[in-house]
Amino acid sequence: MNASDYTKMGVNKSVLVDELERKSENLQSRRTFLTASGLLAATGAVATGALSKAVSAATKETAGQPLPLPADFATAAQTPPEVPKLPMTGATLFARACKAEGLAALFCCPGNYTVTHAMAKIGIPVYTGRDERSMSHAADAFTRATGEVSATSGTEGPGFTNLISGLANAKAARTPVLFIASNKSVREEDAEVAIQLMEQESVTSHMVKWQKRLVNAHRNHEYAAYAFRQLKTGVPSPVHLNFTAEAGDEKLKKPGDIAYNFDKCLYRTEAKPNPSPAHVVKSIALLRQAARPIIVSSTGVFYSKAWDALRQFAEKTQIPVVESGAMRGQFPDDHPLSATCSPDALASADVVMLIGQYCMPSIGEYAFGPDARYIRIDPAAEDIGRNLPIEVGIVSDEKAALEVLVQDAPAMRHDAWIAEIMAARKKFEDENDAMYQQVLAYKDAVHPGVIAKELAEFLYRGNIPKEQTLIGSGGFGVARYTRRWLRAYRPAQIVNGQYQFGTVGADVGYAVGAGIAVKEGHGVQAAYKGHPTITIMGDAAFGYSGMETETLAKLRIPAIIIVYNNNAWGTWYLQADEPRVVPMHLFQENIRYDKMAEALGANGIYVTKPEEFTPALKKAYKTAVETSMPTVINVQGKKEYWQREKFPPGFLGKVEPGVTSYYH
Amino acid sequence: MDKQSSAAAQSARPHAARHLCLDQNSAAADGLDAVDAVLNDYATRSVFQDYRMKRRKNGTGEYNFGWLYGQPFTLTCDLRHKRLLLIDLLPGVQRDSRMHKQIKAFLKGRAGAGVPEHRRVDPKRMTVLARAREGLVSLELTLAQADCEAYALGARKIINLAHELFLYMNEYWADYMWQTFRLGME
Repeated sequence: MNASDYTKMGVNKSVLVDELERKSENLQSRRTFLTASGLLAATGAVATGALSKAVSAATKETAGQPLPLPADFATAAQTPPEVPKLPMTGATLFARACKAEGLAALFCCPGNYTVTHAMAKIGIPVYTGRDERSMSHAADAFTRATGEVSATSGTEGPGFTNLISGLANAKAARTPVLFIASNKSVREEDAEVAIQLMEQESVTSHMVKWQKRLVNAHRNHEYAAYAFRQLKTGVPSPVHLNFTAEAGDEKLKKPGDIAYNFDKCLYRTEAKPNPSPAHVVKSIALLRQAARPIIVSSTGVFYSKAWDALRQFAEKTQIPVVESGAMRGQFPDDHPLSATCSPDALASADVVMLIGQYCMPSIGEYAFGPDARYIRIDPAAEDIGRNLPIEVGIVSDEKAALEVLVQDAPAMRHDAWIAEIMAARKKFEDENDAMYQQVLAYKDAVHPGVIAKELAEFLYRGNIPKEQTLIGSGGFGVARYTRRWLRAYRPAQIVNGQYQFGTVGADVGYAVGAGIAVKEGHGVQAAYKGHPTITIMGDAAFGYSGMETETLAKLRIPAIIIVYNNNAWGTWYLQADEPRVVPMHLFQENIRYDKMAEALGANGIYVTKPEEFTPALKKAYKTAVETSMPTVINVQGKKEYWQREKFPPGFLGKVEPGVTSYYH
Repeated sequence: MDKQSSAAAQSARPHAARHLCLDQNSAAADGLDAVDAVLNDYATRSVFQDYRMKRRKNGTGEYNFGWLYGQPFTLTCDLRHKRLLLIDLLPGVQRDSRMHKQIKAFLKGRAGAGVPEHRRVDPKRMTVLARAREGLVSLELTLAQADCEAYALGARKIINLAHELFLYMNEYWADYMWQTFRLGME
């Protein structure tokens, strides 16, 4: 076994080995409160020899010491993957096809046993958590962070329904995730035999690019091919497979039992749609007429890996680029042509080239003014012209179109326009600085502006290479501040939170998926393998998925979770003058999410004053680097900070596209 | 005489705006037509929906169209006072309230020297006000000149200013915009 095999099991080898060696002699206590609460007893059953010592040494502070992992993790990591051979079940046949397709990861909870077990046995990396919903968000974030297809799974009935929020969010974000749910036998259909039988396709029909109920194991390879054709071509989106018991259990005995048993190079193509010359000519003509053209680089630029072509095209034509989409960084924020942090300039654009903008804004949702004319580049002809009227539509893979445009477009100059973009960027940064100075005056809790500014200082102007750290940019109210300061300097450095669908509570799941992506160095995260990640969220979100902190700890993910804890849902302030309504939007005050994290095997830090935030961040980062363990920084805020009359600037809005956008 | 024009009808005379300024004998009517041509161009490009113009006997024009967030908008053009008015643009804004003051400051800032020329409200050519009456803010643009070129520029300017004002409101008064235009709270 090598380190990679360990990590694919979700285990950091060095941490694991150290742990096993230490187990009988060095398992020091968790905190006193853990002992008192009996949590150690609950978790210690897997390391009984260590448990009594741990309990007896309970008075020593051992922050950062992980809870013991069952020895089964090491056993699993040392067990070589199986090579599927006939006879095999339908589930194994399907898993074999997924492995051949390079399925990068499966995030799930126990359930859908035949399929998920088959995947684990043949060596597809499987990561399990506490709730299917969070695991579906993990898969979404993994794919958005890497560009690689991942999968998530739920068992029949409630496991399947738990996946729905993640599926809807993945659909809105156009994330190519394979959603698999098991189902009962076809023979039991409509009969309410036993439990958990449920028809699935009507539930997911509007949330997927393609769906299929599998009933015949002989065709599992064929339908895997259908699924991956959909996942790896055109506009990305999720695919749903409903795995009946027949499709999973049935045994296949001889090669002839497998229908359409082609290799992937025979059942799908890597070819991409290319632009028509006439439409390229029209686009270039429109751009040449423009005084203030701009490019919107969105999700499709990421999935088609078009960032180099985009940069060449922008530099040759001197056309500024503003980002939108489910992930950011394909065009670096510090590039002289970046308009991502120049919201005030956007209304000046007269020609807008939308590239890979799958989630289409309607008129007025983007900052471009009524005089702007639009060019759209998209692989799906049927989508061009939706919502925004366009003057030229180019049906093409984004990278293919940009490569042609680089060749065909003449060099251009837009000096005055670029100067306007730069001035707007400076104005935006100046506004941010002024905002930070303003909120520093609030000392009784931590204002989100402090988190935003100081996080940016730490990430981009400290000792860490600015392009290194992946950010999960979530939250509701807090995000209105953090997005103003967060920057992206390389592809998928920012995973743009609950993009488009706005699911509250996805964030710890995102931290799991994005954390695995970076920890294992998948896809575009390869150069940043093993580095800590940071995810920001509100306390409402943490309430949904905080238990996945245990998953972060179990998988030894060096993640930092920043919880903005203002004791309320983000919605409370709109009801502030409705006394009978306000309590509906409030929690108990000053909840110790940090202690919850500690109880779950992670680290916790409670920050109650502005001056404590940066030291806490540094400590959490150091812990992540040195131990590969997660930390929850529970930042105590104050709900009244959203009230602009009392605490200006109060709750902020946003301008799209660009640094603050997350609707489109 | 009242006149109804629609985007479809206007498209039959796409070059009308180009010739308006050549007609020196009917400056008043040309001003309304100049505004009509500008707005009709937006309609032709589907920026506006259901665009209609009414010409009134008193020398004013009323222009109706659907635009941002699917809302109906009404613009009037008063030739006697050289005034364009986007009526009742923002509801629920009390006169001299904090929001009203900020809107006024925003509009005043549009005439600042630091604003790019193509976005700037040139005080030599026009002035802009946020008029609050009975809780409704209207955007009022008064021209310095009465020629059709000025009216065309004014029409384009007031539409762009409305767009920028909505951007500003979305950035700093998001809650108001959600509640007023049913944009959803997330």
